[in-house]
Amino acid sequence: MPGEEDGQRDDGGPAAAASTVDELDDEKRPAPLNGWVVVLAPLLLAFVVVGPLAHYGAWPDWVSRTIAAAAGAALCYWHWRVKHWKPMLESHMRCTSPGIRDIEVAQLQHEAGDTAVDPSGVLQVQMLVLGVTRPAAFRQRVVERYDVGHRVLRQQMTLDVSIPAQLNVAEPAPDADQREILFPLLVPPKGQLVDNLCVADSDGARIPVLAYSEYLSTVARALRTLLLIAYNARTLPPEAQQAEASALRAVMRRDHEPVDSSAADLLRNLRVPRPGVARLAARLVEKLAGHYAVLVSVPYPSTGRFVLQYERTITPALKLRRCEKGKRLSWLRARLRVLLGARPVDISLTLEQAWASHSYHLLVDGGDGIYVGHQKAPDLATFFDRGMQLKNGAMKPYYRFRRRAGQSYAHFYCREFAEPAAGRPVPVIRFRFYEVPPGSTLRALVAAFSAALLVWIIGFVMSRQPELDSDAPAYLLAFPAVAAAWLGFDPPARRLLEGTLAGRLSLLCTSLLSLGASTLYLITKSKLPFFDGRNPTNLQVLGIGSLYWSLLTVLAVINVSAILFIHIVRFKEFMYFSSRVSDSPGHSENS
Amino acid sequence: MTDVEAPHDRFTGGGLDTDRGSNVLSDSSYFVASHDWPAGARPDDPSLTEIYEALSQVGEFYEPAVKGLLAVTVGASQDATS
Repeated sequence: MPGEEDGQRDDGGPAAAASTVDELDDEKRPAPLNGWVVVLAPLLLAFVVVGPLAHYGAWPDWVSRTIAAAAGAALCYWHWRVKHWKPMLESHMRCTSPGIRDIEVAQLQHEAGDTAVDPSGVLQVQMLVLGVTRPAAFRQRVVERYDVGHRVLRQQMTLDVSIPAQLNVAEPAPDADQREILFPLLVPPKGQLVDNLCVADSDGARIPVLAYSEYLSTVARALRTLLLIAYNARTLPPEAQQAEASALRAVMRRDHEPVDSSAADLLRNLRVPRPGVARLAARLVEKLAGHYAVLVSVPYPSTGRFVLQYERTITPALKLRRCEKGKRLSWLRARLRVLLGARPVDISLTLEQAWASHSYHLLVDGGDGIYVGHQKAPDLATFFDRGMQLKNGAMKPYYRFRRRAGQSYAHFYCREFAEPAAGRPVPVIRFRFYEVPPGSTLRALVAAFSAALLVWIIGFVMSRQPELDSDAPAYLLAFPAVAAAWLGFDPPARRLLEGTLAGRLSLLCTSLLSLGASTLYLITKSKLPFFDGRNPTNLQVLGIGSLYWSLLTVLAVINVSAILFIHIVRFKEFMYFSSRVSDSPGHSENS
Repeated sequence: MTDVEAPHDRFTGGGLDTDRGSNVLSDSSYFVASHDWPAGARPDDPSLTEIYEALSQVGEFYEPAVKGLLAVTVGASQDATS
């Protein structure tokens, strides 16, 4: 479509300048660091680590080394701040677009009037006004589906649309097949790109999307028509023309914020014989002042019903727990997930399409090897109590979740949601996905058990025969570390939701314990005067008297116990969901 | 896709199989807000009946609207930024 490249849509033509840009001026790049900084860091490092073999630590002394290490760390931090962090923050700039000139408004109006007057135009105006102000009037059933990718979500929408009989378009027309209707597909905020948008009909054939200029012309025609209806006249008085120009200027404005509501107020305050129509025009302008409508051209449906599908790519925002009192463990866990490559298991979605349709389905497919563990709609009760009013003559709102049965997708259904009141947030629903067992936890359990067993056996032997004359234990002890490292390096993650933090942490512990045990064995065998203590008061840990072998054994047992506990919990939960009795009539156990 | 609905209705009562008791707040989460529709109902919004009534007259006023727009002059004197 015009004004769009590679399936990406913006708010059109020059409006592209309004959106935030993510680029960096070469002039604003920081100057390269001076050479002395690059030289000083390695010198400091050398000062810390180099010393005479016989008296390492005596000269330079440890205080000097500590100071040098601190200076090196400060230098690295400063380098990171100047070279990487600051330029990254400055790379995101919000641009302010120039205002709309009067001549642009007049030009739009003139071009909007340069069209044939036919029934299609009437229908287009009706569809635009009703579709933007009351989208649920058209959308009988909406199915919104999300498939997770590596970092993005693929949104697939299916709309069952019915043109209300009140628009008087159901009567057969001789040239019905030649006519087209403009349907508002979505109304995103100005400046927001709709990535990889692809619109199709029920047969999968591509549906054309209108250019931004065509959309503006349709808005201009709709606004003028509504004002004439409000005045019940065939021409507009000067004050109405001024209000109309202000309204069009607000619609053409390229910035999303702040939303200009003064134009809508001008329309609302017009003294007209039909104030309800003026309010309708104001409502239309209010919606389109901060947003823009993506209009698609659909062949005229002789039955008044048609199906539309569209796909787009959405990049979800990653929210990590802030460091607050009582939540520090969660804060740490969130950072560990990012650090170790384990993805979050939660996904929250706003119900933005729920109120814009009569019947709404939301499906989130986590992909293979994932099942729905939790599902919750924490805001809905409040939403019903405070923000909702029943639609005129409509059924009461209703919602429910698909029962959890170990399936990879979550399904939420609702109907007859009213539009949230102004200033009220749109309700959010939240899903949590877990790995289907056996997954990473079983691999981690096997590695942890191997490491614990080897550490205990060799610690047990070394406690009784420190003069063991073999290198085999060193290799044996290193084996779990190698295995853990290999198991930890899965193929590149395919999923957005991959809750493998426990497994990865356990594998990390296994690696460290194995390497520690191997190192301890080599030190002991070499008869170096380090790590040769005995347990206090002749205590024994699983038959081990050596202090450091005891410590390693205890840590290995804790590692095994923790991952075993988590594995059993996950396994039991999955088994419960998979095998519980259905609570729906007509379904037997395990249905 | 198969729609799975309750065989019995539960008006505003919430669906089956939600985690009423558990706290699903996590340390990290993805947040998806498509912002597809500008929501925000106002008390003075025209009712659906009023909207249909207004739209039923579009056919009558569409032609003068188009002609009126075509009559708008694009002059250099209007070249002011507001």
